[in-house]
Amino acid sequence: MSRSISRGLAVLALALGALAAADARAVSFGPYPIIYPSTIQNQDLTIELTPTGTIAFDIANVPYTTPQLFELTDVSVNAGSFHFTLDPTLTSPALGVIQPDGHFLIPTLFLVGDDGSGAFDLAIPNVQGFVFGAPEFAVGFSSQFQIDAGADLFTVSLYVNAPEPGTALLLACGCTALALRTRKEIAR
Amino acid sequence: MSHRRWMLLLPLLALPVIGPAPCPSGGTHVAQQYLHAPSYVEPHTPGSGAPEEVAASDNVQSILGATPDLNRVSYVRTFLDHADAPTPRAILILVPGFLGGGGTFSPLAKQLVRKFNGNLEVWAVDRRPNLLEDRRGTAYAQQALASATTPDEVRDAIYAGTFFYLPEDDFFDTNENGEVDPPTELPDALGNPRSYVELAQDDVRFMAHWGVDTYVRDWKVLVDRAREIVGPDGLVLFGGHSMGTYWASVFAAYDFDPDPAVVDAGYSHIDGIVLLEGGGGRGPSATAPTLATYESRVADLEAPGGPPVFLGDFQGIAPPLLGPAAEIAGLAASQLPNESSIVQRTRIFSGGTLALIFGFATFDNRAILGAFIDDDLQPIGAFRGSFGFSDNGPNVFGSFAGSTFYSLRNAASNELRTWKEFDDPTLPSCPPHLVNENATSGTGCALLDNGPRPLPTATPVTWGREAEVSDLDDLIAIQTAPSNFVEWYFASGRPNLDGSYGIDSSALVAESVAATGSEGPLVLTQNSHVNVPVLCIGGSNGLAPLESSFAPYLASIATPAADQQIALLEGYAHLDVLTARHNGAVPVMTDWVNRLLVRKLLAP
Repeated sequence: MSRSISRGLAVLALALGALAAADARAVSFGPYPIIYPSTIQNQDLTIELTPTGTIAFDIANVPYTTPQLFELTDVSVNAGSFHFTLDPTLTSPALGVIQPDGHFLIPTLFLVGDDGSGAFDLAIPNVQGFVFGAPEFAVGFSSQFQIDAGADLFTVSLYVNAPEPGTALLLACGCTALALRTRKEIAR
Repeated sequence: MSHRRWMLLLPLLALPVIGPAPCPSGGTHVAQQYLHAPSYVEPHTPGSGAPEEVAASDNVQSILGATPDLNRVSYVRTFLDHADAPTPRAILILVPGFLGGGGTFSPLAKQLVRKFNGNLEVWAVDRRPNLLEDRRGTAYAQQALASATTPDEVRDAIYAGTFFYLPEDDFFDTNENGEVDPPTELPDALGNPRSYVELAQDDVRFMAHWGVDTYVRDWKVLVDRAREIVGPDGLVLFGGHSMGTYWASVFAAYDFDPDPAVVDAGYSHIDGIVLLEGGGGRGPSATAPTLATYESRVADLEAPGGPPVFLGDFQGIAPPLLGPAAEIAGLAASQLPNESSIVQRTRIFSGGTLALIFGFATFDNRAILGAFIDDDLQPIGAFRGSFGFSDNGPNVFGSFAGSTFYSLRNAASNELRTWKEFDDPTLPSCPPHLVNENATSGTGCALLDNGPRPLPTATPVTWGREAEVSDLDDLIAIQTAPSNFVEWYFASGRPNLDGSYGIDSSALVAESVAATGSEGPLVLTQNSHVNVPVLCIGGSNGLAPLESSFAPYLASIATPAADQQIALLEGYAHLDVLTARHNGAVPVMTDWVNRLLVRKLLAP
């Protein structure tokens, strides 16, 4: 499949997601790529990694006016020689709550890391962030948290966004859906 | 995306992005503290200062000092010991089962805290009688072992501890030196040299008042303290193992407010109940006494010479001796694993059940502990875990008190019976071995197939392929920890009386209110209102092997079916849910806690 076709399908999926959002039901977003300026830095800045990969997430109801279930459904992050994924031993390793203003909290994010020598658990308490486009839709999110690796403390800054030109189309579709719904409500 | 396009997103990124979260740890700092806190003041208990206070006997003073205060609640706190550890969002309070100390939860607690990276703590309760254990012998032996540099010094240290609890006599030459060595005497709490202070029933008649009411009020102190830590958005969860599941259901069902017109139900203070290898409480028995009979029995219990207030004998085994012997066995198993068993050369093995079960073979120090606790060799289901096997001699298949087990015999060469670890790939299985192989050549099997899983509504029966999942080293570590494995003075008098009402003493309360205007001594009136989520975990080779094991309790409460979760771990025996190395209960509990936490955050 050519790159342009897959991009087109991704955009279509995003657009459908945004349209579905207008009916206020669970919506899946992504997988979205991790983008610049995502970084992983240690305390004295002698180590700086640029994470790559993708993250997908669900929001229970979109659009929303009350706190909703927020869940990362797929994580595939590469950083240096490490690869991080959701903990496969759990049915819901990344459950959280999103507020109408877009802020989210995952009380404990359960990941598994692997540096090629074997997998290890990495649970991260209190992962907080912000979803762009909330509460009508979601085009990505940002999150910052810290990981204590024993000898060193790492600060992780993640930015996840719908790939261009999907963002623009998604915004357009979302706005259209919102306008249609508003028009329908006025008509009543 | 180009940097130029990225710049277009900057206004969005400028929206309030949350700052760094509290620092988690790499999971290598899981620690434990043994804590005592002031608790409910039971008036008859030494230290209460109330007119009803029973003076501490000489023996109690010898253990605890001249002015003991026994109105305390003790617990093992398992947590992430790190300066930047997060304040936990959830605290799980667990009550041990029959004859169990808080230490029994340690392997599970450590795995849970590590899994949550400190966002969950586990507080394992030690019931009040644990305060009465005279553990000077173990402490002395441990101190001597710390400075021992030769094998003889190691042996002497363990013998010194042994002779403190289980001195030699004309029949037992424990150290095999041809002499009757004197008992080890150590300074007691009053400064006097004494050997082991084994309490008599009349030393602790105040235990006539240590029943459901006192225990649940102790645990309420912990629940309140946990709530202060996690806050209203956090979780306080309450659970137990085995008989501890009865205690958990009792806590939920209790009305703490003394005013008959006001209810302060236990379940309203917690966010969920965890039942590990036990079906929770049941309804009152047909023999539940009237108020007058209840009060009469309490009076009998507190009178000198009255019925036992603690369990002095269980199937021919004395818990006040079993507890210390287990600690000595733990020290010997860790220090002298391949030498002949020391405890087997003491009077605790001279008769009764232990002699009957383990008296036909001579064990090494590691194998005697394994044989005592293993699901294939221990006939009592409540004491069983899957720790490995012993197959270096004949094992005879038999039955005792309705359960089957292997009785170990001496090998033809008279070598010591040794232990094969839980992860040894050569553990015998059936097939090719036969369950009931003959005594002269057969070894039987550690890994038995108990057949297909019955229907959820069937009468509970073991099923599935047995697993070997628990490490003897973890058990050994618990024996001598500050909160140990065995409860030496398991309160039986008042809890048995209270237990006859199960989880509903409404009739007793009604009778008391009518007669006196007060709710009386036991206020189990809220069970049918309990509506918090319940997680039940059983083992297919344990005492709660099927959904039906939990059904009566779940049917007795108001928790909707959607909030009743049952997980059955195939191959797990009764203790494995606490001791398994890669415990299958951990992901189940983690998912459950995680879901409850998010649900609470979502609640308006």
